[in-house]
Amino acid sequence: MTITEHEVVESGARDTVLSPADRWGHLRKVPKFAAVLVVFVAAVVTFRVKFSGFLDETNVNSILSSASIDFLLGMGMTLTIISGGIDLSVSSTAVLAAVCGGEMTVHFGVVVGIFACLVVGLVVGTVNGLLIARLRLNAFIVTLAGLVAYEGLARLILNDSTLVLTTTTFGSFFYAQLGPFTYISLLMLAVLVVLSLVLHKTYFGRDIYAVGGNSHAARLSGIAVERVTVAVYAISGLCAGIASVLLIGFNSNSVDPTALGGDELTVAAAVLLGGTALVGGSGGPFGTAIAIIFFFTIDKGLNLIGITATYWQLIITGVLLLFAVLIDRAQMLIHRRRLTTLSISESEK
Amino acid sequence: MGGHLVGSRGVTEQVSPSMLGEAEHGPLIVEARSISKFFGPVTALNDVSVSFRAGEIHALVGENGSGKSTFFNCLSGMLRPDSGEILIDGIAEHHVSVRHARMRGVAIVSQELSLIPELSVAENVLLGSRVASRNGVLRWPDLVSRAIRALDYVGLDVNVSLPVRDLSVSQQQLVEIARVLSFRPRLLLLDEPTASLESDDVRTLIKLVQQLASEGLAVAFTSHRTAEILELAHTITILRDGVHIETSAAKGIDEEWMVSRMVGRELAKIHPRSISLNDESHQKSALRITNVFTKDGFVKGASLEVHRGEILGMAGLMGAGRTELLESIFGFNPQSSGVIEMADVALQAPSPREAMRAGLALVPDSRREKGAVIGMTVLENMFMTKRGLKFWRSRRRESEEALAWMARLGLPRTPLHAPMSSLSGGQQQKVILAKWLRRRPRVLLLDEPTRGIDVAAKAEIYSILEACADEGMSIIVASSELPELLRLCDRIAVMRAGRIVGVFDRGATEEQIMSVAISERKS
Repeated sequence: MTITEHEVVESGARDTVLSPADRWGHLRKVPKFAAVLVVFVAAVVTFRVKFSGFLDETNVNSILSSASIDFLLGMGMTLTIISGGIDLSVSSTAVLAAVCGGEMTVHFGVVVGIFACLVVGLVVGTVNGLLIARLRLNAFIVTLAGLVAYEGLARLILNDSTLVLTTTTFGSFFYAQLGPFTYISLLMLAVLVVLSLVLHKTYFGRDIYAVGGNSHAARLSGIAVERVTVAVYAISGLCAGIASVLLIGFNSNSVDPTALGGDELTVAAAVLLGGTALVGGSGGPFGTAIAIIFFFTIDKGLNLIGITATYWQLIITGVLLLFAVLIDRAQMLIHRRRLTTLSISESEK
Repeated sequence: MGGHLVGSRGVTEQVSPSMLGEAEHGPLIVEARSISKFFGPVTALNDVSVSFRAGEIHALVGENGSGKSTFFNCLSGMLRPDSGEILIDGIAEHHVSVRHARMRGVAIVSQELSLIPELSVAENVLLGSRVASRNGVLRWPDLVSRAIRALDYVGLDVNVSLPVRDLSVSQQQLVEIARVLSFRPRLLLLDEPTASLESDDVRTLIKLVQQLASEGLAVAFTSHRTAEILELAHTITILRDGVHIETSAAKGIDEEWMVSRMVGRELAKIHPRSISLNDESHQKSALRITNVFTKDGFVKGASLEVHRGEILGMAGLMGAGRTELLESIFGFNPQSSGVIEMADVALQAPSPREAMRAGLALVPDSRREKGAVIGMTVLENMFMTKRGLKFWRSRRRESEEALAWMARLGLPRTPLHAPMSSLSGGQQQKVILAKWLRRRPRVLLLDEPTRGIDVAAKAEIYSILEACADEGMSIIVASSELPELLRLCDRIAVMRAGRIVGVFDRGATEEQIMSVAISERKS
């Protein structure tokens, strides 16, 4: 046996009068996204020192707006990864929803169009979920197939061209502001808050962690694993649907089916950087949110410095991902040392 | 190597009267002197000195967390002691790695086997050795013949080109032992070698160990099963909380003596509860299964009845279908046919969710794989069975209820927000028990509820179960440990080849049950 797990060794001498509920509280207070948060703050400070206008309202809003689509995709993907799967199809789902919503807008107006965006996202996500949960197919492969197929479908609908909307509603919403905040950033905040509440304060949220942590144990505890799985992918699809509305606005009321190519990997990287483990059962949307905004802050900062080449951004993303893993590793070691009660697992099978 | 010679063995060794029995064994091979090991502020081993002689079978005994595995890991080079020294043939060894320890003659078979499931038996046997290769290129015929020879030595006759995953657990263990023996160790460490074995495989292993010892190998092992310790060991060393309590010749030692030293106190005397099945309250059927078959083919027409307030044991060899039957009753393992009735009402149980609603509960055999979500907290695990319309969680409500259960289950100091992974096996099992008991099931199914759990925790779990049965809960316990069933159960059903082949009332002997469990197995 090696040191595979911590084991609490009961010891009368060390026993304090802390209530059991409090005694371990502090250990859980070190969030997994601490690493990315630190780097993020460091980056912001650096850019702020270099460019005095970096934290201006316009600049911040511009960063948040450019991050918004990936942010929403990331919210959905976080959920699927926590549940032990992954949704690689988020970007294609958003594109397909944008195309369908765009077409509906052309024919039936903006309200129907937006509604269509959301419904298409939800339906596509549900289909993914049903394939994964009912047919017990591998989530990675199902959504990889979806990634390719949904974009293909979108291009088929548009006959491989770009859809241009005559209405200006999407674009104007996209850049509209409420006080210092854009509607976009309020929407992002709302989605983040809702998902956080669902994950941490509801039994449904706890079930998602349980399914991702150990699906056998979850099922044997009476959790409807299939239902939870379908719901998670449906929510991911819905997030992509919301993102598709922004996508139309972002491109100034036009829909380009290839607009989001490759974004799913950026999003996946952000989810992992944000402390959600690929194996499932841990993490949360807050880390993802920080990581995504961090990526776009770096983008913006590099642009201001004069580095516009995307390859630099790619290289930096890659390096940061490795860095986050290293930090995570270091955190674990510190955590282990801090545990006053480390021992060798003696007989766990 | 950095070793230096120290004085001759005879001078440094203290011979206590109880160790005189060792004189019949061969020369000293490995001597651990004042070994201490710390993990942060925790003392895992405190000044432990034990010596191992050729031909001697040495049992290391202690509860979970007593430091047995840590000690083995120090000897085998997996961990480096913080102080003290390990002498091999009287030469102090520093900076010992696993590889180095192996070269010097100390080899370990860990509890978790280190075989590679997809590789063939032959490749596994010679894993880590370069013998059957020329310039780094593997020579298959040479590999096979060497592997067969090595396996022959441990009495295993299998097709060596099969992948290891096709072998049974006990066969895999023999492969591991064969591999370790191919390094020609002089001290063989076996960490919980019998934990996952059935009784007849345990017999094989015991014979093998005895044979190895008679050929002059020093053997040290750990075990939670007192009977086999007393049978096999020549010498017994007892550890408690990392401290060496006593080393003594095994002759004349009984279980009570050993357990009291392991635990540090006398265990409460065991009073087997006695219920009369003729009592009216115990006449009512709580769960009846009739002619159940499962789709996986392990259960072939099992029928069984358990009454209200009864503890029913389920004995049988590995592969007899106990786990599969329990899981099919709970809806985890799909049935192909059969009837399950609870309190005379037929139950359709296609899923654990519905079985749970009907008042069933299952504590599965593997805590890690099925029982707990190891990365989640104690509290989250305990309330995983929360069902109903409640949408929002309430920490306060959960904590209050959880604390009450923890107190009742003898875990008053276990923090609710600690991850499950930080708990010992026994603590985890109690949390899993609490998770089900808080739902007040009418029928509780338990599969190997005390596997890998230390003696004190076992006794506590027994008394919890008995208390539940006294309150009218019906309990089915499947276990590979017959003494456990004999102690705990009002009746014992024996399973063989997917069927219930006999039911014994309290008072049956181990022999009677085993003979039913084994007989006709060959047919």
